[in-house]
Amino acid sequence: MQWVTTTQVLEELKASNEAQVWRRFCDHFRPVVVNFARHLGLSATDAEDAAQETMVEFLKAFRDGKYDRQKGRLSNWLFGVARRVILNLRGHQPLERLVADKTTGTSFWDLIQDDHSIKHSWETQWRQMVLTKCLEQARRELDSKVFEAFELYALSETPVDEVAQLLKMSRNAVYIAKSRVLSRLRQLERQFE
Amino acid sequence: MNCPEQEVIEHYMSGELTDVELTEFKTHLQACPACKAKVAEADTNERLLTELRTFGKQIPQASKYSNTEVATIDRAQSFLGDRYRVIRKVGEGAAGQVFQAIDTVLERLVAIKFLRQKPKHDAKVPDVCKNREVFTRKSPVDGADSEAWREARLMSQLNHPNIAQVYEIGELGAQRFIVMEWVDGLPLTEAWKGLQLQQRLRIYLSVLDAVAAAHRRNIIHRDIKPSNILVTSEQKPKVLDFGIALETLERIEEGVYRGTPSYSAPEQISPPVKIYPATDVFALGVLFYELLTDTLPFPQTDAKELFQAIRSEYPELPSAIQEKIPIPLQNICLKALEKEPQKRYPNAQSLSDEIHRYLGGEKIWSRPSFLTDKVHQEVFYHRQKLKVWHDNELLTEKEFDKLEGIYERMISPPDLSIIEARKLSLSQVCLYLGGWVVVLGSFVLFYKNWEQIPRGWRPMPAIVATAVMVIFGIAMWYRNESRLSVGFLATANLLIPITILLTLAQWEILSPAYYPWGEESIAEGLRKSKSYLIVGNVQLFTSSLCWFVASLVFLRTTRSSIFLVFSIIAFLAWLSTYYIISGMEDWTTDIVAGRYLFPHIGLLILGVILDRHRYVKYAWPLCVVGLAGIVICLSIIARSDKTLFFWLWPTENIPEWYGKIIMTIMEGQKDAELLGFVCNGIVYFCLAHICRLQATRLQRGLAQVLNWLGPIHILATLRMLDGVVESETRELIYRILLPIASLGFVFGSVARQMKSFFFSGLAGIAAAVHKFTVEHLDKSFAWPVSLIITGIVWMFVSWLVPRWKANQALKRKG
Repeated sequence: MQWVTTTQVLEELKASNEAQVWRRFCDHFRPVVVNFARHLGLSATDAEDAAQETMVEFLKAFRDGKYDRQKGRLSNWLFGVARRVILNLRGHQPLERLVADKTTGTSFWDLIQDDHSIKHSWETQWRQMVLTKCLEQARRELDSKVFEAFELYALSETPVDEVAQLLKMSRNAVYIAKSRVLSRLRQLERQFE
Repeated sequence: MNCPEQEVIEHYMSGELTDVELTEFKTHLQACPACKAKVAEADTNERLLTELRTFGKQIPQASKYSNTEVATIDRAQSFLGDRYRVIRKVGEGAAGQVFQAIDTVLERLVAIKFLRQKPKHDAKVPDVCKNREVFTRKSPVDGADSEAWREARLMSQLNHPNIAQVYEIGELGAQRFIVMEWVDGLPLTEAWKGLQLQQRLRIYLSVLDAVAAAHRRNIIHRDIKPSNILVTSEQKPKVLDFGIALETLERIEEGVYRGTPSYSAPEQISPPVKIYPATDVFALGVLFYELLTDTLPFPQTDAKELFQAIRSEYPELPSAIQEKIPIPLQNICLKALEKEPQKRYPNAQSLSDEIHRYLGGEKIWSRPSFLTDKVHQEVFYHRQKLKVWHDNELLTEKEFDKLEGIYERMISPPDLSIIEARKLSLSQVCLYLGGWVVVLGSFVLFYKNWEQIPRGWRPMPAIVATAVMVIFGIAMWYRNESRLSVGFLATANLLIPITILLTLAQWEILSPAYYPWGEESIAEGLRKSKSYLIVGNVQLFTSSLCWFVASLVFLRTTRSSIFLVFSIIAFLAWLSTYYIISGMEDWTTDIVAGRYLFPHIGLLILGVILDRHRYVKYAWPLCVVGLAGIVICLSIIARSDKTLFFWLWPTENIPEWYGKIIMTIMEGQKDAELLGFVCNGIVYFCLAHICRLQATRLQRGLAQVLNWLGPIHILATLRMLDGVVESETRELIYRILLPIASLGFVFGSVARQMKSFFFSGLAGIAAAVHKFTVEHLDKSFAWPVSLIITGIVWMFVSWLVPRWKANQALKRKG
C-alpha cells in the first residue's frame, strides 16, 4: 500500500471527491475501527457495519467543517465517532446478542469496564495501525537485508551471532541495521501522525 | 580514543560492558557529543522496540494486514452444504475471501469466492455523498459486491481454455459465492523464469488469445498483470480476475482509477479516464517488456513518479537491457506501449497477429512512433545536407534524385494493401491459384488450332476471362478492396498477352511473314505437326508491347510491384523454355560439366573471401559467375546418363564393393537423374543457409537466389520422371505426384511465407497441366474452357468464403 500521511489523506479528502481518495481514507482507518469494534465484543459483520458507518459519519462531519486538525488529533476525533456509532448499534441489538457467554452470565456491558478501558483499547488499536504502516513503509524503503537483520535480531530476538552468520554480515552491521530501522521508524511515525 | 562501534553502544545499553570498558566508554561520551547523541537515540529506539515487541509477531506480518475474518472455514462450509468440502483459505481481497474446496459430486478441486455482504445501513449515507455517484456506488463494500457479481457474470460468458471458468454462482441468504475452476499455478512472471524466449512467447500468445476472446465479447479486463495470470505446470496460462472488467468497447469514467499502477495505460490514469481495448494492450505491452527483459518498463516505485513516467516518458529500449532481443519483437513491444491508444494495436488479436507474423518469418511493419519520429528527424537533416551537396555540385542530378527518392520512400508510410497483397494468406493463395488456373486454361488454347470450332469463337474464352478479370479488378479497386483488386488485375495482366496473341493468330491479324524462332526447321516442324498454334513475330511483338503497357498502367495505378514481377517471370519462363530445348542436351556432357564444376566453386569461394575483406565490387561478378556455373554444371550432371556416384568416382577402376552399393541404391542408371536433381535442390538449400549465416549484403542476395533454386530443382525431379518412367504404376505416380506436390508447395508456402515455394508450385502446376493436355486432352476445346471457368469460380470462392465466414462470426457474436 502506498505511504500516505494522515495530513495528506485529510487534505486530499477536503480537496477531492474522487473514489480513490475515499478508498485510501478507508484503507487507512477502517481496520482500526473494525478491530476496535471486535475488541468491544461486536460480531464480525456488525463490526464491519460499524466501521462503514463511522467512516461515513466522519466524512460528513469533516466536510461540514466540524473537525479542526489544530484542536486535536484525528485519532481522538475518530474515536469519538466510532464509540458513538458502536453504542448506537448496540442499542438496536436484541438482548441475547449482547450476551457473549450465557453460561457465565457475562454480558456486553460486563466486557466494558469504564471509559478509560475503552479509550485504552482504541489507543492500542490505533498505535498498532500506525506502527504497522510505518513498518510496511520502512520495509519498502530500506535494503531488504538490513530489514531482515532487524526483524531477526530485534523483533524475533534471534542471537546476534546467528543473524550475522545467516545473513553473512558482521555483528556490528547487525547492530547498525537495528539502529537504522528503528530511527527510520520513529521518523515515519512522526510523519504519519 | 576513536568513536566506539555500534556494537559497543548496544552493549552499553544492555549493560553488558565490563567495568573497564564502561569507564572508558563513559569518559569518551563526555568528550564526544556525537556519541552522546547516538546513545540518546538508542535509548529512544529501545522504547519503540519494546512497544513493537509488545504487539508481538503480529506486526512484522502486518504487511498482509487483513480485515477481520468474516468467514472462517467452518462458516464457509456451513453455507456450502455437502456439495463442496472446503480445504483451506487461499486469499482475501476487497471483494471477498477465496477458499480452495473439493467438489464432491464431480470430484474436482474448485476455488470458491465468498463475496462480502452489503452493509445494512445504506440509508445512512450522508447527503453530501449521495449526490456523488462515485461515492455511493464505489464505496468499498458496496462497490466490491457489485464488482464481484459482474466478474462472475462476465467470466461465465467467456468460455476459453485460457480463462478460468466459472462453474456456479450461488446465493444462500445474504451470502453470495462463486464457484470457479481451481488453477494450481504460478504468476506469469514467476512461471517463465528460466524459460527460453520461444517458450515464453508460446505462453504469452495463449494469454493474448484469452484476452482477444474477451475483446471479441466487448469485455475489457483493465487489470492485466502477472498475478492475474496463473501458469500451470503444463505451461498453460489462465487469466483470472475480471473483477474490474468493463463490458463495453469504449467508455469514459470520470475520476475513477482502477487497475494496477505499473500496468496502467496513460488514459487509465489521466482524467477523464477513457477505456479502450487498447488499454489492455498497454498492460500486455508491459508484460511483453517483462518477457523480453525481466524488468518493468517503468520501474519507478513512487506512485507520482510512476504515473508521470507512464504519461510522458519512453521506456528504455529492451535491446539495451538484453542484447539478443530480436529487433522486430522490440518494435512490437514498444508499439504496444505507445502513449496514445490510437497508435497502439487496437486489441489483443492485432498484437497476437503481429507476433505470429514475426514467428511466421514475415516482415513486421510495426514502427514505434518515437523511433519513426527519430528517423524523420534524421532524414530531414540528411536531405538538407543533400541539397547543400547538390548545390555545390558534389552530387550529380541523377545521384541527388536517387537519394531523394530513397529518403522519400523511407519516410512515407507503408501501403498496407500492398503488404497485404504480398502476404501469402490462405485466401490470397487461393485467389492467385484460381488466377493461375485461368491463365493456364487460356494458355492451353495455344496447343491446337481447334479446327472444329468456328474461327471467330476460338479466342473467346480467353477474351471473356480477361474482360471478367479487368472489370472485377477495377470494381474492387473502387470498392477499396485493394487486395482482391490486385489479384484480379494480376490475372488480367497475365491474360492480356495470351489473349492478344490468340486473337491475332486466330483472326489472322498481322499474319506472320516469317516465324520468330529463327530456326526455319523448328518452325516448319511445328507447322507440319499441326499440334501447336503458330504465331508470327509481329503478333508476338504487338502482344508483348500491349502487355508491357498494361503492366505499366496497372503498376502506376496500384503501385503493386507484383505486375512487374509477374511480367518478368513470364518473360523469363518463355525464354528459358527454348534455352532448355536447344541447349543443354546437345552441347554439354557430364564430363565437361564435371571439369567446369570445381573452377566455378573456386570462383564462388574466392568471391565470398573478397566480400569478407570488403572488396565487394570484385566479389559480385565472381559470385554471380561462380554460382551460375555451379548451377549449370550440377544440372548437367544430374541430367546426364551416368549416376552421380559414378561421376564422383570417374575412373573405370572403381572398387567392386563401391559398384555394388551404387547399383543396389540406384537400381539402374536412369534413376540417377531424379536423385541428381533432388541432391542439387538440397545442396542449394544448404548453400542458402550458409549464406544466410554470413550477414553481408552480397551473401544475402546469393541466399535469396539459392532459396528459389532449391524448390524448383525438387519439382524439376518430378517433371523429369516423364523421361524415365517405364511402368504404368510409375506413370500414375508421376501424374498424381507432380500436381499434388505442386499444390503442396503452393499451400505449404502460407505457413512461413515461402514465396519461392509458392511460385515453384505454380510452375509445377503449369507443367502438370501441360503434360495432361498433351497426353490426353489436346483435342477437346472444353478442356481449356473448363480450366478458365474453374479458375474464375475458384477466385470468386476464395473472395466470398472469407466474407461469408466473417458474416457468420458476426451473427454468432450478435
